[in-house]
This record gives sequence, structure tokens and C-alpha cells, in this order.
Amino acid sequence: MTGRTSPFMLLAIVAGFIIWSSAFTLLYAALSFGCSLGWQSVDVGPVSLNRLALILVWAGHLAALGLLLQWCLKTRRDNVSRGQPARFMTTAALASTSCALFATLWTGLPITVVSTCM
Amino acid sequence: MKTISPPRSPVRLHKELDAVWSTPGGWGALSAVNHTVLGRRFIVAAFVFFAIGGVLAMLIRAQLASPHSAFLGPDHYNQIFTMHGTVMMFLFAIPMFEGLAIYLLPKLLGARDLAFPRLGAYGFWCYVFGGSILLVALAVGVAPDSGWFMYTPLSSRAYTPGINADVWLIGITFVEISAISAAVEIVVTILKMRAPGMSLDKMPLLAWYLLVTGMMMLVGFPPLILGSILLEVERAFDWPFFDPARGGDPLLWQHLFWLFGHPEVYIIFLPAAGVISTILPVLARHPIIGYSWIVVSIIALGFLSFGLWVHHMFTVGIPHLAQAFFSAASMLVAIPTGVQVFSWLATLTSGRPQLKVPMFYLLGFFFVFVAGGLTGVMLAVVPFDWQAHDTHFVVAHLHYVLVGGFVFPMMAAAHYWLPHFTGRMPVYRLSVTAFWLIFVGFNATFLLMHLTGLRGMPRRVHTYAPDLGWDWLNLLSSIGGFVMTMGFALFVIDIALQLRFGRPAPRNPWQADTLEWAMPTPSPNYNFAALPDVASRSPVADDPDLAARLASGEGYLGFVRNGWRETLGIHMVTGKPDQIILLPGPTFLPLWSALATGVFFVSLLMKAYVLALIGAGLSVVLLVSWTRGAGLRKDHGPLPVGRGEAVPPHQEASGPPSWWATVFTLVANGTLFSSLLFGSLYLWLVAPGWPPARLLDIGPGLPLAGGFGLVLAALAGRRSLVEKAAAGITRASLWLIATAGGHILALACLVRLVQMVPDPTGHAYAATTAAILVYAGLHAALGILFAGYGWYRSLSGYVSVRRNLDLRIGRLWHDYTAVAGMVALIMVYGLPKVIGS
Repeated sequence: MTGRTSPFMLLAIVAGFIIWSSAFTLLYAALSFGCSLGWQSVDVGPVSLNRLALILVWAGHLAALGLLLQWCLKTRRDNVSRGQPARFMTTAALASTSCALFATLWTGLPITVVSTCM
Repeated sequence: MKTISPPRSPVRLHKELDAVWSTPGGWGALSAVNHTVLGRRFIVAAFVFFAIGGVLAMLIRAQLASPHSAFLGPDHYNQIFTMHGTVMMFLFAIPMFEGLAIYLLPKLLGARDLAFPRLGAYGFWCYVFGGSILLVALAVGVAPDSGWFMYTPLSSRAYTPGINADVWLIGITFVEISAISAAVEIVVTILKMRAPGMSLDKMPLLAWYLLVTGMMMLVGFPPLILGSILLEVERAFDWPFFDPARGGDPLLWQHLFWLFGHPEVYIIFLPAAGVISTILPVLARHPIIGYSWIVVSIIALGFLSFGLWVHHMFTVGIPHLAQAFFSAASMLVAIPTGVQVFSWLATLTSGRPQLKVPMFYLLGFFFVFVAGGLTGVMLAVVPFDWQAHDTHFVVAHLHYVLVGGFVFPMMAAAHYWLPHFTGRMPVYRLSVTAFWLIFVGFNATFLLMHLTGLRGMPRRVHTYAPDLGWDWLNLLSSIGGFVMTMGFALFVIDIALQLRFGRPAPRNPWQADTLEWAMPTPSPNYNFAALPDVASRSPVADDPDLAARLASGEGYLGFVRNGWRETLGIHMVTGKPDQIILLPGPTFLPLWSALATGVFFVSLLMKAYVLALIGAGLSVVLLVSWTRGAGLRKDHGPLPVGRGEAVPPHQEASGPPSWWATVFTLVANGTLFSSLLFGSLYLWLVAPGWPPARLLDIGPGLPLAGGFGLVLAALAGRRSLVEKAAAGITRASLWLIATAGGHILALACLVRLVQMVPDPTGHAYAATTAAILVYAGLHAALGILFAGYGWYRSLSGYVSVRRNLDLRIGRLWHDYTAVAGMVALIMVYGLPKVIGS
């Protein structure tokens, strides 16, 4: 049994969207915390503390997704010559992670422009 | 032990298998656990509820057909529209797809039954009993009347003092047991019980859809169950979770409800989309285009659908940025849906489509669902939502999505698989007339309703003035509604005629390539006389003689051994056989267990709490008694399964279905606990009236002692497994006793902490703190039960080094309890410090 056909690969297919879920939840939670604690009134350089916290959460998840995508690419390359189901699993993981990266980018984009606590 | 019978004639093999797998007749039919029987029962019951919901819809349309109508008073109208939504969402849509999945999955996957036949039966009875509570309430005039989403404070005790809201909360929670049971069964069956060789890349798309749907149910339903419990506790005991005067917040209910409610839309849609992905390629005579992309889209939909719930709450005063997150996710979800729609269209245009009856409904689906999807994108835009919120525009949108995305595909499914159910072909012309009546009637009802809504007519009003420009629109909608009803009536007549006069169906009437057609129709109790070896996504097309070969016992498990109900378990990715799964036979235990559970729920409704405790205790005793006689008292090692292969019984395998079922149940359980923590933090941050006057004032000693007990239980539970392998039963039993001891210590600390919490009726802080502690305490109490059960099974000879499943399941529980309990203790100890500072 190779590693690319282990049940772990099922997890790899959904890992990207688990990170998206984490990003989404933490962004919503951080916004609520920040607004509750008045972070929007505390400036850190050109942005408020609230916006900075959100950007950090967002960027952290994007970085994690970037690393995962890199791993998926490598795994896919290593498994091109293998038969099914390894090829299917690695392709699905790669596609799913790419979609999750786009989803995280898109849903977090309003952080850069929209007012935080109004 | 008997030896394996040599190969016999197909008829003799059929008789042998039928003797093992059949369901008794007469009253014994109530003991059925077979998936074919249960699937049919689910579908018939769901259709009965659909008819009831339809009658309620007709009453609504009769009332709204003209202004100032005196047909229904506001009290009755409130009950009727609430029950219409409740019946259609909880008692029709979900159970209907569950029924289809229960009937179809083993046949589609090449198995003989589902993973947990008795759980399926228990779920069915819970569904029927829970639904009956709601119907009885409707009949006696005390049905829920606060809308199908039961918003607080309207549904709180102050504004709904009768039992109407309690009926909803208790009845629906009862039905949800059925949904969670079905979800566990569906997920485990798909992952572990496919035909040998059916690796994930060869799995039928419907199974992918149902797998994701099942996982969504495990995560999506617990927030609603939690919300229902909290609201019922507030109504019964005055714990103010949703009362803003005492630190609660009505919006917490909306969050918990829509955390379930929006994924629910996709939970309903995805199985229907799976039906489309199954039927459309067959009728288009072309393999599905974009299999892998559809799989990725299903997964994406499964996740993204959880990021939409606040778009039901755009008008409640949430910060713009939060609205932007949910608006962005709401638009994003259209992409994976679009991928599927384009895959279907590409398949359709690449093939040679046949305009058979199911195809009419598929074409109807495309028109109706795409229109509903487009108005969904409109509502995802915040400024538009502000205008259209709570108007009939939203009613029209949700009916386009749900009827288009579920009813039309299910009608296609009915016509496609009815020959499988009945062994007869449909009566063609009547079906087409029924379709046109439904299609035209539906659009006449709801297309116009968009305009009614844009003209400002709000939802849930029992009448309106004549000079608002809504009269003719409502009248035409009502006429359309009755035309649609005629179509459904004709559908029922059509089925009756098919049953009576339909010509016998050939074995594979649609020339489909999936395994459910590789068996006689109606199907035998055991599905397959031998299990197939799958080498592609089109096993039937690859081997037109497959059905005959399987019937003659050529394949896996083409024999009867020891009178066991055997099917194969596989490696969840590759499809390689790794265990023989031994399934239980007919028993009344699920029925008795559901009745005991019913006693619990009805007693709660009647505020007879002593009786409720008796019902709960009886339920636990009966559920535990399911395991009596289950398992093996000796090691068997690998047993031959045919084709020269041998695998062990599931009790001796590393990843048996019950182990995975426990994992997935704990996932659902963890979601419920996370929702409770979310509720607690949400109230602290958002609700008015914080900080509370009194906080839990404790030192670290009690939480530390409780935490020690939980960790001890988890470590001792793990140790018992090691000892079982190394030193035998005595030392393992000692470790199990230590496990129980750890739980007892934790339980004692948690009970003491609950006693120290300030009055839970005084403030939502105290109520949520007590709820968190009760949750942890309940788990510790059940941990004692798990440890005791493992000990009993060890002493009874059901546990050995190989057969240690009971202990491994117990270990999962002890581990989960330790983690959840520690989080609970940290929360109740730490939150007052944070609030205080």
C-alpha cells in the first residue's frame, strides 16, 4: 500500500477547504473580538489594529494554503506515472486545494477595503 | 462451524441466501432491518408527508387567492404555514433522500446491505414517531405557529406560551436523530462497503454526492439540535439564552438555526444533483463529462455552503465587513454549482439524448433551478437583499431552488428507478401530462410571486388589502398552485396504474451501466448472490453478462457460511477487500428503542420529567442491549471470500465500520460542543447586559482535579488495550476499572462545579456555563458506561488480542471526553477571569 492510496489522501483532498473554513471562522471571530474590544480605534501605522489582525489571519491562511498547494504539486508530479487511484487522488487534492486558495483569497478580499465595525 | 457450501445452481443459491436475508411476514415485518424494506418505507412515509405538506400549501393559496379572505383566521394560518415549511423541509425532503440512499446505496456500490441495519430501522421509527408528534399537534390545533425557523423571541415563552413551539423543538429534535443515524450509515457504507475493486476514482458519482451530503449532515445538523435544546431549556426552565434582558440574544438562535439552515439547502440539493449525474448520462447515452471536476465541485460546495448562513441575517445589524465575507462566499458558491450544470449540459450535447419521462423532469430542473440560482445570486448582494428581505420574492426564490433543485430531480428519479422498485415499466402518456401540469403550475405559482414580492408583499401575512396591486398576482399564483397539485395527483395515479397494469420491466430497461441494474427487479433481499469485482466506472456496460454471472455465485461471497449475513468491507481508497462484515438479522429492538426514546420526548413535551428520565434510562438500556450476542467469542483469522482471497471478520480487522461510525458520531458531537462554545463566546462579545453581576468564583483546585480524572480515564483506557495485548485479561480489567475511576472523579468535580454556578435563570452567562459543565458531565457519565461495558465484554470472552473492537471504540470515547472536558473546564475557569479583567 503506497502512501498515495492511504486514507490520508482523502484528508489531503479536503485539507484546503478545511483551511478555508478555519480562515472564514477566524476572520469572523477576530472581527467580532476586535469590534467588541475597540481595536478599530487603535491605529498601527496606516491601518487600524482591527484591520491588521484580520490581514494577519488572512495572510497566515493564504500562506498555509500556498504550502499545501506546493506539496500537492510535488505529490502529483511524483504520481504521474502511477496508475489509479493514486493519480485521481493526487489530482483531486491539487484541484481542491487550488479552489480553496482562490476561495480564501476571494472571501477575504473585503478586508482591504470595507469598513470594519460599522 | 459449518464448511462453505460448494457452488450450486442459481436457484438453489438464491434459496439459501434468501433464507438468511429475508424479513419475516405479518407482525414480524416490524422487525425488518433490511435496507430495501427500510428504504421503501422511508420513501413512502416521506411521500405521505409530502402530500400533507401539499394540502397545507393549498390551504395557504386558498387563503391568499383574494384580499380580505375569511377562509382562515390568523391563528390557523400561522400554524398552517409553519407546518407547511416544517413538514416539507424536515419530514419530506431529508427523509426522501435518505430513503433513496438507504434503498439504493448498497445496490449501487455492490454490497448486500448498509453498514448498520438496526440503526437504519431505529432512525426510521424515530422519524415516523417524531413526525407523528407534529401531525397530532396539528390535528388538535396546537401545532407550531412561529414560522419554520422558529425565531426568538416570537417562539420564546413570553410570546408563545402554549406548547406550540415545544412541539416543534421536541418533534424536530426527535426526527434529527434519524438524520444523524442516516448520515453515519451513509458515510460509513460508502467508505467501507463498496464492491471489491471499486476504488474511489471508480465510485459512481451519486455515491460521491451522498458521501459529501452525509458529512455535511454530521456537521450541519448539530447546531440546530443544540439550538433546539437551548430554546427548550429556556422555555421549560427559564434559562435565558435568548433573552436580551438577562444577557441572552435572540440573534444567537438565528446564528444556530442558519448554521444548519443554509447548509440544509445543499444537503437537499446535492443528493438530487447526484441523481441527475446518474440519470442524465444514461438518457444522453454518453458518459458523464468532467467526473473529476464534478467530484471537486461537490467537495467545494460541501464546504462553501457553510459560509453562507449570515446572508439570511443581512438586515439584523451585522457589521458591513462581516456581511461582505458572507456576501462574497454566497457569490462564490455559484461557481461549483455552475461547474456541475455545465458538465451536465456538455454531457447532454455530446450524447444522443432520449426524451423519456425522466428526461422531461431533468429539463424542467434545468429551467427552474437555474432561475432559482440566479435570484439567489441577486439576494446575495446585500443592498438588494435589504429591499427584498422578508417579502414574497424570497418565498419565490426558495421554492425555485428547492422544488427545482430537489422535487424535479426526485420526480426524475421516481420514474427512472420505479421499474427497479416494482419490476414494471411506467405508463408513458399519463406521466408526460403529469409533468406538464406540474411544470406549468409551478411556474404560474412562483414566477409571478417574484413580482408580488417586488411589489412589497411581506411573507407570513394571512391577508392583505385589495388596493395594493397584489390581487391578480395572488389569484394567478393560487390557480397555478392548484394546477400543480393536479399534476402531482396524476403522478400518484400513474404509479398506481404502473403497479397494476405496467408491463414487466426488462432487467436493465435504460441500458444503464451502474450495479443496481445487475440484479433481478424487484431486487432480492440479499441484492447480489455474489459480490462483483469492479474494474471501471461502468461495470455493467463492461460485462453485459455480469448479472447472470453474479446470480450463479461467480464473484465474492457467492455462498452461505454459518447462516451469517456476510458482505465485504474494503480499503476505503483502493477498494481492496480487508474484512468480512457480519450484519445482524431482523429484530424488534430498534422499534422498542425508538418507542422508549419517544416516551422520553413526549414526556418532555408534557413536562413529566420523572417519566422522561425513565424513558431516557430505558432507551440507554435498550440501545446497549443491541450488543447482546453481537461479536465473536473466538478468533477466526482470515476466512475465504472467493476468488482465492481470504480476509478476517470485521471484529478482527483494523478499521471496521463501527469504529468509523464512532469517529463520525464524535465529529457530529464535537460540532455540537463547538456550537455551544461559540454561543457562549458570542453572548459575551455581542449580547447586551454583560458582564453579569455574578461570576463563577472558584480556585484552580476543582478544575484541576476534574481534568486529572479525565486524563486518567483516557490514559487508562489506552493502557487497557496495551495490556490486553501484553498481559491478558486481569490487568486489562484493572485498567478499565481505573478508566471508570477517572470518569467518576471527573463527574464528581463537574457536578460540584455545576452546584457552584450562579443561578442559571439570572443571566445567560450562568446558563451557558452550566450547559457547558452539564455537557462535560454527561460525557464523563457515559465514559463510566463505556468502561464498564468494555470490562463486561472482556469477561464474557468477546475480547481478545485480535478482537479488541469494543475497547478501541471505548478508547475513542475516553479520548474525546478528555479533550472536550478539558476545553470545558478551561472555558468555565478562564472566561470569568477574562470577563473580570
